[in-house]
Amino acid sequence: MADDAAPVRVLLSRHLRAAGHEVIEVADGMAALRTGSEAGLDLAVVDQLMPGMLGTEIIAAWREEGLDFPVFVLTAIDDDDTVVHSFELGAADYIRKPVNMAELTARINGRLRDR
Amino acid sequence: MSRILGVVGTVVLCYFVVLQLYMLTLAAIAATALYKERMLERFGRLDDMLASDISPPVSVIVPAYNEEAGIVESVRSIAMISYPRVEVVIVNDGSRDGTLQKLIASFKLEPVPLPFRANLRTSLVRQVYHTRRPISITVVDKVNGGRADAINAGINVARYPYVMITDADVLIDGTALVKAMRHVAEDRHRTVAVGGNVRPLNGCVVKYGHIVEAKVPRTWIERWQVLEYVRSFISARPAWSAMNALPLISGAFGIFLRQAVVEVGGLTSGHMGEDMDLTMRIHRHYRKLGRPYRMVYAPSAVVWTEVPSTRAVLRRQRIRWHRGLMTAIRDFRSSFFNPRHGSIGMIGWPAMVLFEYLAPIIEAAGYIIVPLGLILGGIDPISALLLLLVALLAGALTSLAALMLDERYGYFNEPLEALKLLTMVFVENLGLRQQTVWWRIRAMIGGKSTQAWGDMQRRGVGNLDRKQSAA
Amino acid sequence: MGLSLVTTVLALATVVASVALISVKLAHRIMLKGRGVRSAHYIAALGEMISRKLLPTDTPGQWAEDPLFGDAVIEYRHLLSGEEREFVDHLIAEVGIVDVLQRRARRRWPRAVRLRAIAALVELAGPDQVPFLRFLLGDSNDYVRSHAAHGLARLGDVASIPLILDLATRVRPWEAARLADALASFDRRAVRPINQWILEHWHGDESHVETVGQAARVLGLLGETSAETTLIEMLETDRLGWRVAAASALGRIASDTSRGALLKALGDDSWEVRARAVRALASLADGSVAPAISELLSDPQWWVRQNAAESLGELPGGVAQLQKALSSEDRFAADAARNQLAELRLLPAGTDTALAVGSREGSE
Repeated sequence: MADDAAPVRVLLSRHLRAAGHEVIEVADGMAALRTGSEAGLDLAVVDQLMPGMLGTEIIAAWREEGLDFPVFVLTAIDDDDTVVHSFELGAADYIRKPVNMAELTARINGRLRDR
Repeated sequence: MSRILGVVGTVVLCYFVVLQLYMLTLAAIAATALYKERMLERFGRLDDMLASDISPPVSVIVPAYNEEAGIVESVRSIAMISYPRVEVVIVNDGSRDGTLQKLIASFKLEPVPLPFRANLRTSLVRQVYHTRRPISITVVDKVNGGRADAINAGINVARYPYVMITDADVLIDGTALVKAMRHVAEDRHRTVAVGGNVRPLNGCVVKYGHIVEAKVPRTWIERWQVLEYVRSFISARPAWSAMNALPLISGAFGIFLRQAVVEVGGLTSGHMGEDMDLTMRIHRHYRKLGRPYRMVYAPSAVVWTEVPSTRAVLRRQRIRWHRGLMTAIRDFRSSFFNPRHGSIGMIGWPAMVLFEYLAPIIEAAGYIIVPLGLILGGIDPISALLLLLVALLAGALTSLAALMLDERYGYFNEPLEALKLLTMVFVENLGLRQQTVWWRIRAMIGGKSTQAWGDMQRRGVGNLDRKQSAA
Repeated sequence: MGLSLVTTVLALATVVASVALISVKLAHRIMLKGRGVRSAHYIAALGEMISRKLLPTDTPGQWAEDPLFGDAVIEYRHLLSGEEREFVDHLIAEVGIVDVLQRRARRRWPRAVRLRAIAALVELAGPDQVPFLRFLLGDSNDYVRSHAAHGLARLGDVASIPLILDLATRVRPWEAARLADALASFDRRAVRPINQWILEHWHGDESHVETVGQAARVLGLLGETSAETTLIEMLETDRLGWRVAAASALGRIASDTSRGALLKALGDDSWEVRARAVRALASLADGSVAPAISELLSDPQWWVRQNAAESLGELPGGVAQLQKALSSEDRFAADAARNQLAELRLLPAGTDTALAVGSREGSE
């Protein structure tokens, strides 16, 4: 779970941990990239605008390394370019801020069940 | 003989008192300007302005010569700048390393027959490369012609009405562009240029292209430059800007109305102070046309640049700067106390001539005349000592005021760090200051000129992490 | 004698300034550290409450007094929607934070404290704060006024719109533009009162003229078709500011009704209007306007030519017009077309890339 703004990170991690998942929280782009490459993730949630790297850049880097776990992108309400671009890069889904937590958790849980 | 020495010596000492009082006045004007600025930034709802449709599009121009080490990182950091409409134009000025190849590979650039209008004459452009992802990036590959020439080529290719001129080894704060362009939005019809706050990168902890912590560097020579930059960018420029009398917009971060740069014929190739030359030519141009205009300084728009860390490099830089200043003094002598040139003619430029250009000459003269006068008895030792003390103390007060004003920006909050700079305020008078006076005198005497691409050995923004952890 | 006095004073001042500098640094550091700890604490505690939907039982009063708590609440409120946001609103009411902020917003507090409280208040206030926010619209401080306008917009208090516009006529242009930004954060219900205000002040004095232009800009940002008639009428007046604002606004609304008026505006005397009319027509995404736009590839102004070329690149049938312009006798039209075709990667290989130097008008 990579987002430089604490609230979404805090809440989502709580929900997911409550559902029995293990969550790694990071607050900047490079840390997210490293974690994704090394930790053997089942799923990642990345914020598009983080210090260090853009969410889409991180997805591109992971795909180049051959990592194909599903990635959710958090974007601003009116940022359609990012949505399109992240789908081109093979993102699994996107969520717009402000975030509806119930919806986000449901989508993530659904994705994790599929795997 | 001794009477003449006495008079001259006293004049020299009085000159220093006046110089320091002038600096102190600037600091006082700057304090008010910065306070207003600060309130606006905290409570002026600038985010809403960004969201509405009034932010004019900007082309960022990055000239690059042998920048293989850091060019990709630095373009990435520009692409991450938060601003609604921005394009990057990189000009590869005939680099002999892999600058171009690195750019092509990293951003998947394609050669495009992108036509452009050669408003400004430059050396031959070989090819233009372009991509639209992540943002519009254009790379102009041209035959080597120097920094000014490269920037002119970038201006030819730039498509937006405002151009931001910067360097490849400069680290741009993510909010710098918004904070600078706010001044344009404030008064779009008159604002022709905005300068940013340049700070020394030395000593700072850099991670992922961001400043994680600003620290005071380790060597005296770097520390002294930190103090010098703070004095110039925190206490002098806001004051000049408030009077619309900025004689210089730094080459490391200046935003210009593209049309204004084209109208004055672009940057002067081979000029050693091309940024001051450009600023002054724009002043003169608008004064001549009688069009209302303003050039402003944006203290909160911050970029970081590496400053010389050795005496030899600093010496070369200072000699080059002073030569640039000398050329400018010659070219713009008509602006000196010229009421038709308004505030720049009556305040900004005369201050530049009297306090920047003449200072080393008068100071050097002082080192000879005052001791001589004391020996021969033309100068009263007590009043000479008192005058000297007044000048030194006023100088120290200016530095202290600048450091105090800088506190708001929150870069050197550690008391220990502040103490290092505080020591520098007093120590600088014991040698460092005299050293630069000597360099400037050397610059006037003449000698062989330095190369067009500056004196810094470039390490690249991306490699700073490594350097810092090694330090 | 006088000189030694000056020296003494300066020496004292230097010592005092040095000591002050270090003390300020020290105090600042201690303050920042405390803030960081408190902020993290609030974020964690609020996360706990929100995810469990638990209201705080102890010490909330003390929290409400801390501006940092307000900041944390605002951050949560911004980032969450649905059930969680409702809970945050509930929490805001429960903790009594708005009362504290309203108290601090009064004039006897220092300016910085006051402004900070008002900035938070407009994010957190409920409908019962409307009278207070309207009262703040009359404040002597411009930041207070524009914050109040934003607060009223956030609460959707349509009845305040005429008040905000009246205020805009009395203030500096910069502030008037900020007030207009505030109006743009209303929803479509704001269109009718704004439209009505414009009509009522159509023949007003100079100060009204400016504000009517700003109001037109807002109508565009709101993107609602019902105000189009007014905007079209503005496009036909002899006031430059109005025509510019109306052309951009019609472009944002992008409805077919305005096509005729915009086509006519392509022949406007001012390049600012022409450039915006071109953009506006392009946003209609209707290929039938392409021939009219391609006329402007020969415009005297570079910015108009550039926008015309870009627009043709987006419109159906526009590329054909650009290709036709390639062989135009007018070198400026050919250049503009060439530029855009290159951008679209449609330029035939081997085409010369040097454009004509110089400009058509004295100033580009």
